[in-house]
Amino acid sequence: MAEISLDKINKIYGGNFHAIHDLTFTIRDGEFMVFVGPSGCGKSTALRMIAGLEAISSGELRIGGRIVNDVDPKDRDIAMVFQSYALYPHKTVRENIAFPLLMAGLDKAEIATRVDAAARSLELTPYLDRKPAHLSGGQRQRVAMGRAIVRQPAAFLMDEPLSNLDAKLRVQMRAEIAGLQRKLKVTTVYVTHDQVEAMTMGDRVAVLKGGVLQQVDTPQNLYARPVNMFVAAFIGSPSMNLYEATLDGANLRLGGNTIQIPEIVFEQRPSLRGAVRRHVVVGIRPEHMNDATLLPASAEITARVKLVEALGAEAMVHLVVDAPWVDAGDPDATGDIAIERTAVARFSPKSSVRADDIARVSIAAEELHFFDPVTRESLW
Amino acid sequence: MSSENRFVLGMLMPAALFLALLVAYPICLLIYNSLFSVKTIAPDVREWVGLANYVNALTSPRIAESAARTLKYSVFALSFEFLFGFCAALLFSAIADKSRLHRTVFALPLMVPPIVAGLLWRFLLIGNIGILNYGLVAIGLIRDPGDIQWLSDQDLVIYSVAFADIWLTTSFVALVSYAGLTNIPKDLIEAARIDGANAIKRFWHVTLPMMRPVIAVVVIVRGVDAAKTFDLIWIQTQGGPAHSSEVFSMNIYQRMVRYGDLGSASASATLFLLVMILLAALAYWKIWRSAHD
Amino acid sequence: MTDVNQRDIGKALINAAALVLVLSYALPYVYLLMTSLKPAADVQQIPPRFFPASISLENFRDVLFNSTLPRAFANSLIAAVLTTVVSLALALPAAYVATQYRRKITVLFLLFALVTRMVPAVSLGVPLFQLLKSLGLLDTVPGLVLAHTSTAVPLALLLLAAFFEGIPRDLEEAARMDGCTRFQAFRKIILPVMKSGIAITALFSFIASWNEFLYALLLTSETSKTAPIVIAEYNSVFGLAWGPMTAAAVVYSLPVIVITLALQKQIIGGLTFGAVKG
Repeated sequence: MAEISLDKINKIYGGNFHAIHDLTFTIRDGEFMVFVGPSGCGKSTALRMIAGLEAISSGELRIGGRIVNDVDPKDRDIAMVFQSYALYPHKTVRENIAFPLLMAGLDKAEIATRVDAAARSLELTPYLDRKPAHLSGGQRQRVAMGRAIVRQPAAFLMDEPLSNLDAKLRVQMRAEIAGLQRKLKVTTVYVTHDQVEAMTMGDRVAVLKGGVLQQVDTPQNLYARPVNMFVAAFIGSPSMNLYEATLDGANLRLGGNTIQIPEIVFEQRPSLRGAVRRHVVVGIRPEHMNDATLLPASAEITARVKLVEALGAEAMVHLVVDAPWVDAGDPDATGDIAIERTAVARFSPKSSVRADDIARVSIAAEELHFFDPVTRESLW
Repeated sequence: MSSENRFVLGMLMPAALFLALLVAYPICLLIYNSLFSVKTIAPDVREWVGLANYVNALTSPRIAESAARTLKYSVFALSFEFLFGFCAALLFSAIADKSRLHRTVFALPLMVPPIVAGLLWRFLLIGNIGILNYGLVAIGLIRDPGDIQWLSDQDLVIYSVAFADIWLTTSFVALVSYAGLTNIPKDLIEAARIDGANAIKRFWHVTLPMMRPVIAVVVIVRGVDAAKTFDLIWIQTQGGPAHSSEVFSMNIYQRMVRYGDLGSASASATLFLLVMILLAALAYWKIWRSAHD
Repeated sequence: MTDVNQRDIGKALINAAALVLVLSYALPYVYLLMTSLKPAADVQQIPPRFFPASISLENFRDVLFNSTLPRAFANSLIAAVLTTVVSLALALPAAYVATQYRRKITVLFLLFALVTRMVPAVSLGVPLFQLLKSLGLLDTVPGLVLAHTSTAVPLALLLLAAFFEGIPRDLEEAARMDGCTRFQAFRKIILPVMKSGIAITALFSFIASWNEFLYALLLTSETSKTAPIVIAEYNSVFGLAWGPMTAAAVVYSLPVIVITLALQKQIIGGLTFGAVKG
């Protein structure tokens, strides 16, 4: 059980590639912390530095209060689950799970007890004498987990442990891992590129981009109060729609549409009061847009329908809003292939809009987000 | 130094030191000796002659001939090893799964020590008791067993001694080529078939290009090996008759042991070493590199 | 109807061709075997016959009891075993860091190993003779082992490097998380996983030493000469004793054939591995 604190941690490769910039935050004792971000954002590197598999270029890393920058991985009292599981192919499941205890010098009886307990909690008991080659992907994943929990370490580190599983299994294991952590109450650092995993599993989530920490907060806060455009668009699927707009007093001019901004927005974002033809970037989440003819809301705009994807429970409607579209800055986002960038809205399944219709779209104006076009930061 | 760097250095040191002492140092010694006039039996009595040994080596007709013979031998052996080996591989891949037994038996020569192979072929080819000629008479290719003197005919011998080499290493070429062939994705061949290519076209446009890296490696490895051959030829002819089967490596041996000229032998040996490294580097650049572009 | 026939005939032809090829390929060795089983007098008869008129073990008796072969055989065996052990001990750690801890120095090292492979034995034999003489190791088995190992280590390095490439990096990392130092991870986790690769490399090192002729010729004499030298010595001023020579050759070649056949599956894989990875 330990607190992990990062203080101005930097990682520089080969003298010129600056992979991690001044990473500073604290993972609380017993917390489930998720590192999330697009590929190349440095989340795995950060995890590996905590593990001791990568050297720290500058800054201080503390586990349980002591500085561990130069401490060998084996002496940090942490366990790691690898993306590829890294099971020892020549050892049985039992021997795999027992190995760290063997290395720690525990006596045979104690090892046997712990191994059996871990196997039971992960439902691996029937497979104890098999070798990894004879296990399914899901079973192998659980053996990797078993090898980590059997050590009763101060912290767990998990590097995208679910990305090699098929979708259904992933959902199941997500719940199991979260449940396990809640029961064991061990500090856990979990790396993923999947923001759904991040949102559902983490007590807090650290969003990284390009080696720089964007925001570390609870999933709810990341959703409701993103600190910049990138976090706003990264969290939530489909992504928040971002457009250039002009704020004049309480009128927001979005292309050919005008939206009345309700008072509650100005209470939450006092810096927006008294704006005179101020250029802003406005963000609208797909779930806050709907078919105005069915579900009217505080504001309304018109837009041309490009495509309707009927999903049964809802309809994903791709709309062309005649306002300048803004790129959120996510290197992994493929962006709309068409030249016109579209917005995505989650309409009621009962909506009857079709492609090429001019639709009336209701907007929940109290849920609008505002960003500075230059700094890309949220405006409060 | 970081603990990681210390670890790497520690693991590397034993092998590095060993190679430095037993390969790098002797090579330095070799080059050193080549600059002196010195006898094998009395290596402490030496006289500096600079590059005289090299000039001698490069102008000596006997050395030039042995170099030419090495080339003839290598090209001859390599060509046939390749021809037979590749065809055998094609044959095996045509039979596909049932070729397991064939390939095992075919690998037999690989397990035979070169000395034994050399002896064997000497026995097969030699004068009046060599059974090969009797076999050729039986099939009607020659009239009398004495018609072809494989190992005594001065023009023929340099090629005759290659038979053993071809027999020994065709297996290697065949097995490596077979592995390369089976690694060609089937759908490439099928796509070609659908596109209307017949067997020959498929071979030329799909199979052969995909095999380039394998062929490249085999040519480099076998080519250098063929040029270095000593045991095989020695056991068959000792370089005779009248030096007509003396390849470069044997010439060096003769100079050092029989004529006791350490300085001259070292010069030849250094030249040999340089040429081999150059050839290998050249072959690597041209064949391996271009195959990987 | 005609189509099926054509394909069948084609297949039959290919099968026949393959069979002929393979059998004729084994023929020379079979002939060697046959000759060794002939009574000594028949060996050099004119015209030569393929099959022995009568099976006789006198050549074998001669070679195993009345000659220097058994002693030379023992020398060959000891040299080969020692060469294998030493070359593995040196090459394993080096090949491991060269592949799993890649950096400038390891790339240079592998390049150096590759270059030493190109050195002709005769070029190295000349100075090795001098070196061993000054160390007092001429005509000794340890001296020969040093020479053989100079060939075996580069070979082992390149083979093992190819095998180590196939091992995922995170295996060592997992071991280090589980309480191993780097060396412990190497010893307890990586080496066991490499078992078959090590076996193949050991075999190739053994064969390299067992088959070696030139260094033995240059560096040994009466005391420590190896089997191939004794076999070559059957060609003396008195002529060539073909009978005992073929018997000796058969005895000498048998161990390698037997071990290789026993490990045939791994060998064929190992050969291509080494060759294709260069």
